[in-house]
Amino acid sequence: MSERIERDEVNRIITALCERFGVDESVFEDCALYLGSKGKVYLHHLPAPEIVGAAIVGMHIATVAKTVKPTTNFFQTFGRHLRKNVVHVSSDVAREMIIGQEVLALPQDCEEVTTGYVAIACDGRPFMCAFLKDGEIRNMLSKGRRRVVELI
Amino acid sequence: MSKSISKSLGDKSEFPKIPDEFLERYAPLVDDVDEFVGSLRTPLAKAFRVNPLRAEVEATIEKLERHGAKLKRCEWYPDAFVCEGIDPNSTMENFLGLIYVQELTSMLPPLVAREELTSAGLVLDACAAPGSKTTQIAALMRNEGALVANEPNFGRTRSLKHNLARCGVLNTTITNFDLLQFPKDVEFDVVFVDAPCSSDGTVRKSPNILRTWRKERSLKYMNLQKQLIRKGFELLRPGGALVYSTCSLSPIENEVVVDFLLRNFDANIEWTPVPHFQLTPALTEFEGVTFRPEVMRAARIWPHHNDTNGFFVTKIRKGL
Ligand SMILES: C[S@@+](CC[C@H](N)C(=O)[O-])C[C@H]1O[C@@H](n2cnc3c(N)ncnc32)[C@H](O)[C@@H]1O
Repeated sequence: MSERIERDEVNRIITALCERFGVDESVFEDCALYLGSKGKVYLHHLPAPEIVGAAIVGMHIATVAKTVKPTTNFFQTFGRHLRKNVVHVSSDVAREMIIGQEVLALPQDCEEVTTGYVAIACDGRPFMCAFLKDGEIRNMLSKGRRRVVELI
Repeated sequence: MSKSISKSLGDKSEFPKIPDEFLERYAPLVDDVDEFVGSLRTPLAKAFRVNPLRAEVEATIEKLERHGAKLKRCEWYPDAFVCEGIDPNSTMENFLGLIYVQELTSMLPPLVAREELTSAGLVLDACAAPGSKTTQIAALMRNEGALVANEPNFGRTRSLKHNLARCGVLNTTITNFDLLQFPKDVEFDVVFVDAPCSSDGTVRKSPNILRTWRKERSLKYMNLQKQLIRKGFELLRPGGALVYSTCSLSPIENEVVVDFLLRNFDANIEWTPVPHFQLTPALTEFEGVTFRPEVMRAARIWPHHNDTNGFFVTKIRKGL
């Protein structure tokens, strides 16, 4: 069951995501956020319906604990608005990461990338979430989403 | 049985024998038995639609063609393509939800309510998983308004959730009700009942259906389908539209179910032409039972007419 998140908390989550990835906050003007189990944050366009017994309202875009952790959904959906903390990789690297390669060295030519969550992009399009620490990128693609994508 | 039918039944060893009962049931209903049987034995090419919530058609097609895809655009739905040469499931475009691999006939229910969906405030996809139609409905709603995707089976809900996210859907709430228990405190502008069915229209995709085909199976589904269509109809606002569909060829799961609704409720069927796609008016009688004449405004899709699976779809309007 999800519960609608209060305005202040919505602002905190949106600001955290927007600051980290250089997204303009106006992108989220017409959205409501909901809190599901285990800190999962869901986003629904307004108007959000009041459906008795709703299990999930909208898309899982982040998980909140100590930090705000973006999801792969977030990057695939709002990827074109991202201005920083995006790591661009080749098709071959993208293929390996989607299959499940756990660690990747940060490519040399990355600009505006700092420790924390990053989007991995191929062909200019962010396709998954990862975590950058000590020059290493850790795969955050959920196991259920890993697969063989032959044609990239 | 004509010579050409028996020949077509015998010459492809991997294809199961078409049960005599199956032919006895369907041969009298089709316009050309040889073509019907021939099409059942012809595997179906993969198809997909470009997802306008994520992608632009021309750029996506160009990329897929660079992967080696041979694509044929559907005249009746410019977002839809038949794909040969590659498996569209294993492309980055599919991983990212730029395309959604879906059988062509499965794209019909949202299309026949296209007009209603462009202005609908609240829509229910009553039997939603894995979300082929939900994602298409959301796209036709341009991610606006509110869509409820209901699916009681938790395992199947996982793929529904995944497909909604993959396709960038942001206007959808998932519920897990047995539709018969769905709360009655809201009224929907459009309700889709894509009912569980015997699936015998999908022989071209899953020929093994023929190995266990029994005509009695339709009766089991019919009872549930009648309850689902009735509940879906009750959840509509006056003047709202219900789209009922199955991938079964059986009149027991189609015309009989729709006739039941028309006899018991203030409901009107609308014929829903799809330009460049051949729909056949539904039957007006079957095995000695005569249906309400309006039932023929529902549409049957025979596999040999458009080179697709078999299907049934109808749009029913609730009285004001
Ligand atoms: C034909 S499938 C739906 C396919 C889906 N509309 C799509 O296009 O991807 C029928 C669905 O109805 C669900 N179902 C079965 N009994 C149901 C009930 N009592 N209420 C609601 N849904 C039900 C099944 O679990 C199944 O997922």
